[in-house]
Amino acid sequence: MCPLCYCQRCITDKAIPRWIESSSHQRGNFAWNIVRAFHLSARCTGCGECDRACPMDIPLSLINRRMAMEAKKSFSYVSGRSLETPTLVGSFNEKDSDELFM
Amino acid sequence: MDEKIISKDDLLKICQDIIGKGHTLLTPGMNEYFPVKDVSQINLDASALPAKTSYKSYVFPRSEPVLYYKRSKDDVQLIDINVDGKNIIILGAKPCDTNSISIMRHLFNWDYSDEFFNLREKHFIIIGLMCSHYDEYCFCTSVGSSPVSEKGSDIFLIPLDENNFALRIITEKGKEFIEPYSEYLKTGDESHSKQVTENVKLPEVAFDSKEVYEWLGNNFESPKWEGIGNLCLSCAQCAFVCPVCHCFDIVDEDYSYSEGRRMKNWDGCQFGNFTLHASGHNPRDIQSKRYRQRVNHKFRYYVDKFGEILCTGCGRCSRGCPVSIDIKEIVSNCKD
Repeated sequence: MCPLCYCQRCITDKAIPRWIESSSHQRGNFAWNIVRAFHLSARCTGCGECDRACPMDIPLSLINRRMAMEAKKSFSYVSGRSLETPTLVGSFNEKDSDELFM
Repeated sequence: MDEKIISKDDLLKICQDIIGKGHTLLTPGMNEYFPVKDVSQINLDASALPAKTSYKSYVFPRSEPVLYYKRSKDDVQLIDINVDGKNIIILGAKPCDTNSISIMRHLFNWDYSDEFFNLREKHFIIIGLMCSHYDEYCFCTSVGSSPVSEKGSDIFLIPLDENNFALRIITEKGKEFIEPYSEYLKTGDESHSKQVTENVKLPEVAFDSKEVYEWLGNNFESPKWEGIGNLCLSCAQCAFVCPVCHCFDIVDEDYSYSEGRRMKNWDGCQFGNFTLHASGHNPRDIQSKRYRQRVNHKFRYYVDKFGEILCTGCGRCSRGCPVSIDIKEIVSNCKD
């Protein structure tokens, strides 16, 4: 449903090597959600489709909104403001602040 | 049939006793069947919408280890899992949920007897509750069930008025379970509960399952499948919320080079990886083939193999589908 999920083959479908465990335990679920959160950080358009599609009504977009907050706080970056500004994750630099990591 | 009358207060006293004894008491909530901590959480409302998931995960968990392994230099040691066979009492299950275990039982005891499933199932007591809810997605009457079906229940409840239930003892297991509480039971009058069950509004019969069976046998290559395949996102939520979908995958999870565990995880036939061979060939390489498999498995193959339809008509798959695919509509169109 997500307009910004564009991978030809989802990382969850890649089994050799297995990046994300298929078990629905905490580790498997966490791995998936952290990958998604980082890929969509400061890119999510806020359409809310993930919330609407979730059969268990999990408010998934909260994760993306939180990531947008972090992007603004740590890097003064707001997605969609300018075509010229490089994307946040795409312009990763080793010297970037890592204060947002726990 | 053995029919009694029980008041709601007395029923809750029994529940209190069950919890006090340390047994797990499950009851349907909005999202799922949850373990009751306090009897005030119990809502015996026959008109409630079915919970978004069934209690399938209590007999067939989403993810569970089946063995642990340890590797040493020239040996592999396998460590068995002790299955947790504790008593689980399910109170207020809808008829579309109660027969789910009896349908799945065939599969888990077919070519191989699944000890995990069997041990858990043995410790289940299912107390069904007549259902007076129905919406556009319900179709239990089309798959041979009904909102007043006792199939799969050990004990079946019918609300007579706000404070009283007719209690029908269906199985020996149910009889044994309720015997210690016989002081709460009053002698019932079947005519009274019959009046209630006869007045329940039934979901209309949307299709004839025998006709669907015949059509599926003759229309494996029908262009209808392509249309559905183009719609479906292959997220497999339909399989995960289904009370009878039972496909699983076995994967090994290494903790380190020397030890790990073998997991049994829910899988779904709508995933492309489900039938992907090691060679790279995939016999169900496109979505239309996967959806065709889903319908055929439920309404033809399972009938061939075990004589039952692999569907309880609960409509959960349609309610939850992000692209509004309605299985009732699709199966109703399985005709020329």
